[in-house]
Amino acid sequence: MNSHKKIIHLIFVSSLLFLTLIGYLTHFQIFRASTVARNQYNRRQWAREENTIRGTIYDRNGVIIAETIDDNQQLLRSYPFGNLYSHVVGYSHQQYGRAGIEAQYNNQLMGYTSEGTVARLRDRIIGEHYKGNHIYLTLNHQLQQRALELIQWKTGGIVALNPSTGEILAMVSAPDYNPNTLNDDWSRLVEDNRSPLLNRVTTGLYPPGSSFKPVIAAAILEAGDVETNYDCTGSIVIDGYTLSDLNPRGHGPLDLRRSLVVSCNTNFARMAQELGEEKIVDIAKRFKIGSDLKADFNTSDSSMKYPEGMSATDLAAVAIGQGKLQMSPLHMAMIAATIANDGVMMEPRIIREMITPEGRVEDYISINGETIVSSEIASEVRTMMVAVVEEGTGWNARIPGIGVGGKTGTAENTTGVTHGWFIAFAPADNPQIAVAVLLESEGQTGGASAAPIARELIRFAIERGVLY
Amino acid sequence: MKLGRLFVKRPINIIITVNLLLFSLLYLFHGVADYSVPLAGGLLTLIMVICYYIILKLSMGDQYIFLIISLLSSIGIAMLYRLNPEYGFRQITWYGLGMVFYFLSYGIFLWIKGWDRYLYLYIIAGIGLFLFTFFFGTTIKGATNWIRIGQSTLQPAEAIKILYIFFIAAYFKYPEKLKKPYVFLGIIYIHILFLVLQRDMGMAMLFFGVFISIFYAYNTEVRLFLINILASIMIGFLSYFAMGHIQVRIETWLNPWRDIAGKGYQITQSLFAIASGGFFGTGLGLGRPDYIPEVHTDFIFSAICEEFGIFGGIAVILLYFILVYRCFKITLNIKETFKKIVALGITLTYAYQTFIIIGGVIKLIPLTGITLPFISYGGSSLVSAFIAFGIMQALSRISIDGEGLDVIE
Repeated sequence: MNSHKKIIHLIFVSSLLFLTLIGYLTHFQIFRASTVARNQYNRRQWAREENTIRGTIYDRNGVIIAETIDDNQQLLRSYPFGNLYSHVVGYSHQQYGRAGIEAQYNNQLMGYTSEGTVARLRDRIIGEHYKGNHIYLTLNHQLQQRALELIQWKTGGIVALNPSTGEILAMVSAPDYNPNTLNDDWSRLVEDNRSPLLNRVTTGLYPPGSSFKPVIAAAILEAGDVETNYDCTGSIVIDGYTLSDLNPRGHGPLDLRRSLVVSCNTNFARMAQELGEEKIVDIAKRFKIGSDLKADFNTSDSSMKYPEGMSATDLAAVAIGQGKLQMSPLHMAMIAATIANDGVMMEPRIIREMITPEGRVEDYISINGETIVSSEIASEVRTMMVAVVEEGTGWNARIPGIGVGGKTGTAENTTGVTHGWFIAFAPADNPQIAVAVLLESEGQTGGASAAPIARELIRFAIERGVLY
Repeated sequence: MKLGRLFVKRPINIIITVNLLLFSLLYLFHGVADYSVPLAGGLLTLIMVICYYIILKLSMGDQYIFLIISLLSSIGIAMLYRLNPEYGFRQITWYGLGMVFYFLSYGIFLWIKGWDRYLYLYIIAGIGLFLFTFFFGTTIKGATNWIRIGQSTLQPAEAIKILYIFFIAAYFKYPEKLKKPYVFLGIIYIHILFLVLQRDMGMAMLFFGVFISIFYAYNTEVRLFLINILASIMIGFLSYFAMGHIQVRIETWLNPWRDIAGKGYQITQSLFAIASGGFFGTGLGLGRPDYIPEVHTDFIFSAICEEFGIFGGIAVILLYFILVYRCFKITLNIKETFKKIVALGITLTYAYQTFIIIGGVIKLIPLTGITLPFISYGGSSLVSAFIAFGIMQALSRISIDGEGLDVIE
């Protein structure tokens, strides 16, 4: 080969080098740049932040939850209701970063998503602040306030949602914190072993106890061939283990409805044996245990992990909401909502609308649902849950004039002190609200501790008409 | 149509237009009261127009070499002016001085005959400069490759770059002078060793790249070529394990995000700038390239990407591409071996240098400190680049004139 030809090879190599540069640069800009530019070490972000009027966050009716105030050329993020929205809205703080809606919708609130080059240039030239988009949440401020009153000084969470749309109406986790005073409180908050920074409703996972029984009841009704009549003696032996009821004397003869009403552990444990692993795993999967809830905010996935299959005792444990079953309060509220909404589970939503500083609607929120069980099955379970409140363990949730359906739960856990649960929906004939109340390590039954809280919240919502 | 003809017939108009746009933006950016900006822009444009007409009138060969390097210089000067007016103004001075060297090297290269006879001179001068730097050099930014003369510092490697090309070209013209190819290879690796000892990895890569490419084209023994490739891979591995600073370079290349505040600082700041610029850039004066360390030298390309966008960056890369392509065409037209290799050497040097530094700042390859030809701030590299392309200008004339010259040899 002569050198002339080899020089042509070198031309190819050089051309390839230049094209690689162009290709890599383009690739970087398309696929990596947005992540890189948002890195917290990118000081341009801080400069941009100092010069941005973050969008305002409102409740569904326009009550200001978070706003940025221009205080003598210094922009200050303020939360007028202090602790009330701490877990939902979170905080945006120079030193401690962001949490909640402030973190998840940062790009929207900073206005990164909608700005045009021209608008940006104009603002730069006239020296005006950048403006972020405003967010309207689905929360109802009055209901949120009532929820906080009901759970204050306790540890746990309350969530209320609209069964037919999945819109979150109130969400409170206790203990909470004040996002306005993070500078003073931070070290105390981080060291507090009650984890006040944790949103228990969305990211806390707990054994649901008997409040899970409506799910099992739905599976039993679907199967159709499970023997539901049983004479409860207070305990049952499964695979060598003795499982006993809260009531040691036993519930006597009962059917499925009665088993739910009195929350009979022994009959559910027995029926689970007949139902079998396949159907239990199937109903859990359909109710989205172990998968993403597709909420428009951050959630933890509930779980039921039996990688080596389920033994007879595992089936019994899951049937009464124990074992390796771990549920978030939000998920339990969605289960109540699904039963209330004819078997259709709606994706949870907390963003109602986003609006640009000019008042244009930025994003339309899609409402999506998925049928989990048939409306007949849902209707049967619904009737049983109404009976739970009218004549059973949910007695404390009764409201004169309003039909309430619900289910109590008293969950054993590693702390040794039981969690109190109550899930509910109302009004029974046309459900407008679904609620889950969790009281962590309360030590009392769900019927005694959680049901009255759910009752007060539902009563406030429906009697005052402060739902939507 | 008329506008198109205006640029095609008189391509210098493109440069005048670009300068007008760049310096108008700078003028706005610095505030209307500052008359130094239009003054500087006018001065720069005037130098360019005068030089262009000298090249045309004296029919000095290819006119586009000058046009492209001037366009690149304009972009560099505008960027430097935006970063620090003082640097910008000094760079204009360097550009003027560079053009003087450009014409000088053009003239001297054509005037002196028999450049191919001074093989030993090139070797002695090159190694001598290295030794001088080694004993009297100053360490700047971790590399001992500077010589201080009074107030100013200069980088001998920039001069050695040209001597090195001449040495390789002279060797292949009369290989018998060095008896055995191993002697030649030995001298090559001594050059590279010096650069490694000076911790100037970018230059070491560049010297090796230029050598191996020319060796590929002109060495007839395939076995020897393969031995060189193998040896270089082994040396690469050995130096990776033997030298801590090379390991650090590789690690920060693979994952700079692990230590953004420390070792990965430079490259991550560069990537932040490029990412923040987007496709169209923030606009001249509207970004924050001042956050990038070494922004006026090694990282000036990141600043260009931030303010002119990826499209601006790609335009700069394409300008280098056209320049390199034209130089390759000139190379192919030359028949005489020595001149052909000199042309090839200069072409490859600047092609690879561009690749090494742009590739480094965009994290395509490990980052090594080396300047971006014609754009980075710095006298040594700018003047040596003008000398090299002055020679290229002379070679272009030779290639256009046909090969009357090799009869003289």
